[in-house]
Amino acid sequence: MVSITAERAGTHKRGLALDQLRTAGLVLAIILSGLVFQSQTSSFFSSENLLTLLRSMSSLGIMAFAQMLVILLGEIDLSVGAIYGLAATTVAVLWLGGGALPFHVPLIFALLAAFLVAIAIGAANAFLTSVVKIPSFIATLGFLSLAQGSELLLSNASTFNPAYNTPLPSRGELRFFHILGGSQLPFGVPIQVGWLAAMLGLFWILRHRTLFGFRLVAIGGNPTAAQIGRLPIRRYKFVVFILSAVMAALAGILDFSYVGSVGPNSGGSLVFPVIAAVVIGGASLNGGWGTVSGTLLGAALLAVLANGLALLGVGAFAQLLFVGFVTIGAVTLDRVTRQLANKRASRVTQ
Amino acid sequence: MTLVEVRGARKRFRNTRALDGVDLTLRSGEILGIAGPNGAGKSTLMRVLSGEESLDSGEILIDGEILLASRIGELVAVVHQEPQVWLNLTVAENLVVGNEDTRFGLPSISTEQLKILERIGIAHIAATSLAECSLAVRQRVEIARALVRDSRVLLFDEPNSALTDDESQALFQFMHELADTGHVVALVTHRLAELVEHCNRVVVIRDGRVATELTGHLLTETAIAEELVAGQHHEAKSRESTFSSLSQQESVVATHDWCDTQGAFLNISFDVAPREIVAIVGVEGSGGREIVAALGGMRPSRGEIRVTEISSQGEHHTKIAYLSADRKEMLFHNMTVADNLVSRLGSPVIANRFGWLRRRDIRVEASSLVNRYSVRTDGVEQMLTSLSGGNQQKVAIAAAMASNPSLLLVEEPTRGVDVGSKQDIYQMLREYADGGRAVIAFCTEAPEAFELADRVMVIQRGMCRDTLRPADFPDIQSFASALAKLELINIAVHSSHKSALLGTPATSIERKDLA
Repeated sequence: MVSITAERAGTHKRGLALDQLRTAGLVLAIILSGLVFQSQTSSFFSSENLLTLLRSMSSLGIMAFAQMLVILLGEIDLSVGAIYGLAATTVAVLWLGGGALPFHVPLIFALLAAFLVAIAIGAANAFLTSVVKIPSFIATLGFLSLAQGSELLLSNASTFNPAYNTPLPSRGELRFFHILGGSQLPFGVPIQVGWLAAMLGLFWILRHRTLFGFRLVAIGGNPTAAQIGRLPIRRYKFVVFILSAVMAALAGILDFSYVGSVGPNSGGSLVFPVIAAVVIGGASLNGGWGTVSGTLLGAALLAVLANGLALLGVGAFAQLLFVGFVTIGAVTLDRVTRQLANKRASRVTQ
Repeated sequence: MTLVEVRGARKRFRNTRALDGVDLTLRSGEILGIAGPNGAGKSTLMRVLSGEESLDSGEILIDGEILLASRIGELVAVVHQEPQVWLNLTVAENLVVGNEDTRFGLPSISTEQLKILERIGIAHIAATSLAECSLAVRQRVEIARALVRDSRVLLFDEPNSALTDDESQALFQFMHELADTGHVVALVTHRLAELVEHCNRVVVIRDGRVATELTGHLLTETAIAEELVAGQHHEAKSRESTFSSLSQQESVVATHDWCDTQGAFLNISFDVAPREIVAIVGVEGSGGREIVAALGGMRPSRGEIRVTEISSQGEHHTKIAYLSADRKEMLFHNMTVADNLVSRLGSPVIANRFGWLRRRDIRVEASSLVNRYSVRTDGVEQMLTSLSGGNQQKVAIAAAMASNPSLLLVEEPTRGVDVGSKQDIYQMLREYADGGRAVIAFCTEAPEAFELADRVMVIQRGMCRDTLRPADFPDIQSFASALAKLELINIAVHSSHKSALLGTPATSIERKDLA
């Protein structure tokens, strides 16, 4: 009896401690890398730079929150980067004209169309994964290519710039479009930070405070048990894949607004950091584990690295190396600590 | 001449003594039968004999030499119920894998291996992909692999539970051939007739030991059956029939001429009344397990089934809840005890209309379930994995009961559960049925069916062979013997029917093989 109690207490603590350890480790890693950058450039911890940093991680964060739900279900969505680009291009081509289409429509319809396209791709991903039963890796890989191809065909691989377009869109539309992603909230906070905070709140509630999030954890943790318990597996997959695609479209449109122009294949390199942020944040690709706060920290760590390395003048190519190292390192560390914790727990029970 | 000796083999798993001093001798030239009730240690013995598991104490000698588990694995091969082969390779390639004749080039089948295929009667389909072959062929490929590795000892673990009668006959003939050519052959099976017909000696394993050895004229089906159920001297609790006046109430479940689409059972007709617990009993492959799974919607079936919704005071109500035999398939190891308990519940109970989760209600609901079903835990917010197996089982059953189904289906309700929890679980199920609902349980052990059920349906060869009422028996001993006789003896009576019923869709390849 004594040993049983010890085992129980041990396991209980272990579950909690590991989560806290991971969060603490991530925060520590973010602060440490910040300190290193600060010691080299002294401008890292300026409020101006921190706001820039937050802005730069907004699209990554927004996409990563939704991706976390997909991964929580035990699936993966590789098409987000392509949807990001396709959505921005759809808005540009429909609104500004040019590209492969002979007409153009008001901005509001263009935005609507972009989100409809995203919803359609998300639904198709879910259909292929849950009805046709193709692994999501393959289905979304297919849509990565499909979306990229559509984007290039639609835009004739040209760059769009609303402010210098002929014909020039109405001033109201230009203003509205600029407000979406390029304006500033009070205290000089970029509006994209506001979007990030809003999505953080939305996804935190979805994941941690609703029946939806509760059942996602169950379905991802044990699909067979979920089937036996008659949970709505298929419907949830649709919702999650559509959310992922819509968030990718939102991120693409916000970045288009912020940058002021969109060129061919703009989101092509985003899928890796999005998945890396989720995994660094402690989610398991096997499903059943993943939190919004972890994902936020994962995205923050990647953003800090990108920002700091840019301040140091390290080129974009070398930054890729760092992101690769950090991703592998974080997951390896997580695995090693988990194994150590397991080993210690089993020793206690003996 | 090969001789395998097992001396004083002991093996524990956590709290259970799987093997408790087994002494056993296997000789070449004969077929040794191994029988025993579920949980007696048969499968552990097989794993130890094949080197998959090492002993805590005791030793295994082959030709007088004490061997370690790793070395045993090279000499002993197991032919499984489900052959461990590669369906993505051809018959010939299956033989070559792991025994390749080359390090760099494309491996090919050697003349020796081809000879073995010929000997085993599947040389003509050497180039056929194993995915297209029948189970019988796959099994032969597994045997062929054992011969290629020059295994001298072959253990057959329920080898024909899914074969047709003709395929079984061919398999047994081959087993005799193997024995005649100097191999040590052992057969584990539930089917007593086959043990009597094909084995020279039969040992009965009970409680981790060799209880008896039967040979010669002592080797009869009745003798084995009696040995199998001996020792089940559980205190037969004084039971009044808690269940009566069946005819007055409308049944919860009614099936009529109900068949499994894949042929696991045929023309099953029965009713279950409210407050009734029906145990479905049958050996593996009899179709009993499949009946419960099909009722739970886990297998395709056709025919008439009617499930009546029983009105209940609870707000939330589902018609049927199903619990599989494997705890792993029912529980969420990434969640807490509380979350597991409410995992089958939905909107009105644990979340509001808008899907907002009511954390407090979850805790309250979970705590009340934990108390009602005496789950032993230090708190419902613990991870599920911190519970013992028996308590995890209670959580799984409680989670299904929480959704308040009219019909609760349970496969092996107490598999892998300690004795104390078993009683708790029987009580859980009894109380649940007493609330006016029906429970159908698939049981593999006679004591379980005796303690749990109002009515026991014995399934054999996909049909209901007989129905027993435990209340009609004075003690568990007499019930168990009656059950064993029904379940195990005279299986051959319906055999011609079974091959028609269970005959796998035969391709031309299989037919050739059988001829």
